[in-house]
Amino acid sequence: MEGIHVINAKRSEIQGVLGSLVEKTNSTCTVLITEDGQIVTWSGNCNFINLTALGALVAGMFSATKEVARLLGEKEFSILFQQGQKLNIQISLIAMQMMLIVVFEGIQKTALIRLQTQNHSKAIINLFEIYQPPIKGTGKIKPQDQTQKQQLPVKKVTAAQVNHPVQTEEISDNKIKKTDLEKEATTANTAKSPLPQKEWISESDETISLKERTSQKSFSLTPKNVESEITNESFKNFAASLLDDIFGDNE
Amino acid sequence: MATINTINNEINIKIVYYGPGLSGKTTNLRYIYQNVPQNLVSEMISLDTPEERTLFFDFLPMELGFVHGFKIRLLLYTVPGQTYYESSRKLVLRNCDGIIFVVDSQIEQFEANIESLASMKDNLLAQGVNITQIPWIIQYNKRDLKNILDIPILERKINHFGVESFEAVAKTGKGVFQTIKNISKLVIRKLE
Repeated sequence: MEGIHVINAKRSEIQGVLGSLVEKTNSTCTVLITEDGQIVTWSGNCNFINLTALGALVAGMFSATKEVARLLGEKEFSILFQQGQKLNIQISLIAMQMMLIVVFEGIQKTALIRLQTQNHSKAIINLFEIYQPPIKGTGKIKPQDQTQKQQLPVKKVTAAQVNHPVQTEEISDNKIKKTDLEKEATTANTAKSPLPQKEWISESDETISLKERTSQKSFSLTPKNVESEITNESFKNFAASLLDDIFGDNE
Repeated sequence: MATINTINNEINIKIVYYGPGLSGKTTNLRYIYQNVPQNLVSEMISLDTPEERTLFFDFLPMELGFVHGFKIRLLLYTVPGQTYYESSRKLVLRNCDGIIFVVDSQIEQFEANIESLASMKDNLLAQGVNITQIPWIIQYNKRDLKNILDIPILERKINHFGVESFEAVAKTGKGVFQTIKNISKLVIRKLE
């Protein structure tokens, strides 16, 4: 189970499909998540949604519904629909491995949403079709044709982009559930100083460079090299040092 | 399995707190939420009943740092402890990378611990995972109470697999960080 699962597709292509769905249905946003609730990507206006929480909760909701289906003798319910006063949400299971969430206004659009979701689901399946289901026992997903898909374009990332990813801000600024205890915790948290985040860069001589992320960097990125990087000892030592920084002196 | 998302540039590692009802799984998560630097956690999701029993799961995503521009995140979950929430426990265990089994040290809870451990083994097996294949550790919680079993007895009766174990008082934070730090390191060491 300690294998690595790589979710990989070209960002522009997958977001293009989600964007097309938003456009054709005039929905608020669409979010693609894995079956266990991890966010793959999204399109549209998600600024007001805590996507990490949404993914976890939708996965839980879908799993509970699966049990209901089982009680009724059905294998599963492939679509979930929730109606609100203003916003509605439709969740569709895609190829038993992912879920497509559509958030939209106007209950009269339900049929259109359903039709377009079906059409766009096929495109999403095509984009991810190079991956086999996890190999039993290792949990690993292997691309069938790495030569075609593993070479993603070289990305140049500015310090500003790395330090302030848009997604992170979107998530942290919006909270969908807050208990009294959590409010207290938030208040308590404001008294604590933030921990400077660190970045690990594997140097050519295999030494570890542990530094504050302040300078502009560019790097070559492929699923293959990330996988190999996180399984090498240098990365593991770096990750352990991060854990020591966070948890080491707080007993 | 750890998940690398090349679309969003994230590496996610899922850790699950498992154990009998009211053993202190949610208390562990709350302590972490309240005491780690605020920029590392955004929100803790807690779906519980008015009696503070976890209904579905608790969820705390936490950012550790970056590698090659990839954000490394710990996704911390608890399972509902009550026996009738078996489906929820199965869901939460899916694709997890490591488990903290939270033991209620009280004498009267001994059987509940044994049942919960058996359920954990069964639920892992249902996913094709043997308990010896996955990193997991034990936290002996509620060590501040008077009616508790001694550690050697708990070790003999519960820790049949000889995994790492830690004493804790989750409500005060004793042992909480040590436990999460050690399971995280164990998971990372086993990435392959």
